[in-house]
Amino acid sequence: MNEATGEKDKTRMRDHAPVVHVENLVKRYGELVAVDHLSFDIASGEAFGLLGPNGSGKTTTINCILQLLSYEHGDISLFGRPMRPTSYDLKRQIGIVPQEVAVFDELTVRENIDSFCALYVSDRAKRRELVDRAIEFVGLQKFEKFRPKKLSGGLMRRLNIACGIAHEPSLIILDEPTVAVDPQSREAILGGIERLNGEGATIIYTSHYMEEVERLCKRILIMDHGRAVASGTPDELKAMVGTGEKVSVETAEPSEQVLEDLRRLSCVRQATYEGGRIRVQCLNGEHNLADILGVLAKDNVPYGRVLSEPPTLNDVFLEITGRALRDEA
Amino acid sequence: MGSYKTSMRIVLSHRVYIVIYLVLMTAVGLTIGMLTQPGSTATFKPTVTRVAVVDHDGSTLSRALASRIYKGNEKVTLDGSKRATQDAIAKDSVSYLLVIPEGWGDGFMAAARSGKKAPTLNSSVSYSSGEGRLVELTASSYSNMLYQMAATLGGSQEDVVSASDSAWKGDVSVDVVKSKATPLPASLRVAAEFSSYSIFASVTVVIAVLMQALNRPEVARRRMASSQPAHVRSASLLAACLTIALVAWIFNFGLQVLLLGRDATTTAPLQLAMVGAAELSYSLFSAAVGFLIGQIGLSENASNAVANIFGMVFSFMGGAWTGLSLLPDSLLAVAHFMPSYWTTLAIEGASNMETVTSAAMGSLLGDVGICALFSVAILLVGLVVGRDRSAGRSS
Repeated sequence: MNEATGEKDKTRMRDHAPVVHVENLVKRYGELVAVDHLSFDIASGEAFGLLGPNGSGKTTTINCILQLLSYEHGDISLFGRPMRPTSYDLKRQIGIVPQEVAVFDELTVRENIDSFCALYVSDRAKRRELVDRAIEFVGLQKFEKFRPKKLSGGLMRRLNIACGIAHEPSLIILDEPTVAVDPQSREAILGGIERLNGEGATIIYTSHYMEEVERLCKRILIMDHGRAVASGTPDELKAMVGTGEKVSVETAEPSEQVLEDLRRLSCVRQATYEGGRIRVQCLNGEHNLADILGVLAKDNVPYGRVLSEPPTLNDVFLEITGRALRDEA
Repeated sequence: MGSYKTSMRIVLSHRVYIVIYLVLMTAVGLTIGMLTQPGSTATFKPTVTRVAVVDHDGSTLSRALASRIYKGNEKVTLDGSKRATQDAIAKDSVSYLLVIPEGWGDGFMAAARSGKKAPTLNSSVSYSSGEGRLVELTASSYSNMLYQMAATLGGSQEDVVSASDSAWKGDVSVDVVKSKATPLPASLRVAAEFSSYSIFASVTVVIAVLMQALNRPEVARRRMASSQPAHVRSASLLAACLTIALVAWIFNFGLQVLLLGRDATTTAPLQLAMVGAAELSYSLFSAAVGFLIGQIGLSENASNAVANIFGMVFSFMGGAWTGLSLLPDSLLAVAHFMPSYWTTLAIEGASNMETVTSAAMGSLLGDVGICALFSVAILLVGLVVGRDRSAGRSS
């Protein structure tokens, strides 16, 4: 193989390489293992959800990817090339929207976006265009000359996003970008992220709001105690756990015998009566609804509306990571 | 907007500190300088004391003594009654009162000739000032001289008075010796020394506040994750710190030259340049302290407290408030460890340097250099603190 062919092959390999490749990443804080042999890949243009309870290692993983933290073991490659603290050409392609609003209180909205964009783009004319586009993208045209302290929580979050995406990166890392924002701002933010993803940007998205992750992400990795405990598409994750549909039946208060009969069904995990409804948590499987209604018919329980909800990502998350409270000593 | 411009925008948004520490404090320094009296305009004004002599004797000797007491003082005439003298003493209307009894002159001459003790004089001195005591001293000295002359020369009272007046050296003539004019006006020197406070406070607070904004954890994280190399960010910060120091220096020194030392630009340019160099060196030291405070991560309030307290201590120990010559030895020993002391030495040295020689300039440059060494030392400490913080952040 001659040199030119070898170079072409390398380029082709890079083109097909995942945008993010993390292999066997280990990060310790003294005795505490914050990230424990974590591996995952993210393909180009993918929206990837990183889920986990507080302290599960999500932000530490992101900081390792960004080379803000040193790590004990593992390989991290971005765009097919190893990521190092001095990989400035790779960093140029990354946009980061941190969990806390990271802007200068002393600068206006426009100045903030311009200032952070200037960390990536030195050409002033080009930067002006990019800043204009970013302001328009997050809908802050009316607030260009406002200082951050004059903005509402939702507008601050939008400014935070604009500062991270103004240089039009191809990999955008969003760390809980919708914390403490009103529904309208959240909708605007999620719509914006969908647009960015639609335009080809690869997204890494962390959040505690499962419906957001389910809406945005094609693939999800659930972390706990620094380890990857499950990964796949939302449907794959739902199929992975035992939790099935939730059936809710409007009825007068049934006898304890009826609830016992329901619990005896092999597909039922839990049956309770509250708020004028029998609530049945099913296991994964088919014909659950028919079996439940069969029991009610057999026990002569008259019923009104019947509601069947498929399992949500929240159910999956709670089943995988447990219901024990976190952030406790 | 690049990192440097961002820093400058942040600094300008905290303009209240610029107004208080730089503009107002510099104005205070300039005002103090302007109020400083140049030494050549001072004049000597001897003290005039209100004195009264009640002469019941009327002899040549008593009149000569009274005349000596009145000389240079304000004569107060009393009617000689006991009530009048008591009133004068009680109301403190005279600072010195002498009552010469009848026959005092003859008795005095007889005592001198026979070597006996001279008859006493009845005098009163005001309780409210020391001036009367000085007049009493004069009266006592003059009467002693009369006694000596009468004892040794003999003759009439006229002879004794004449001999005594010829020998009397009691009058002190005072001439105001004009001090040599210094090459730089005293007002400029005073303002330059006071500027150690305004420069230190303004530069340290502004740099500390700037660094606090840049080092906010999330902002710092975003900047560090960017594609801008660390050395570019550091260079921008360094340039911003230098700009702040230079602005404070130019504002202080520029106004001092403009308002107080315009003539010196032609009459003593080198001395003036030395004062400028000393102030510049101190500005750089202040920038280094601001950088250290920023690296430590002190809050805005704490930065203000540090800037004010240390600003006052440094300016005091540098002799801005009390001349270095008036500081006690123990404080002076401690002052050697303050950069402001070396700055003041350079300023005072340059202000008094009549003839510019390379040796004298070299010595003053040494003082400026010592102040610069303080800057380097503080800067290095700041860099070490910053390295430890960033290592802690990334581990």
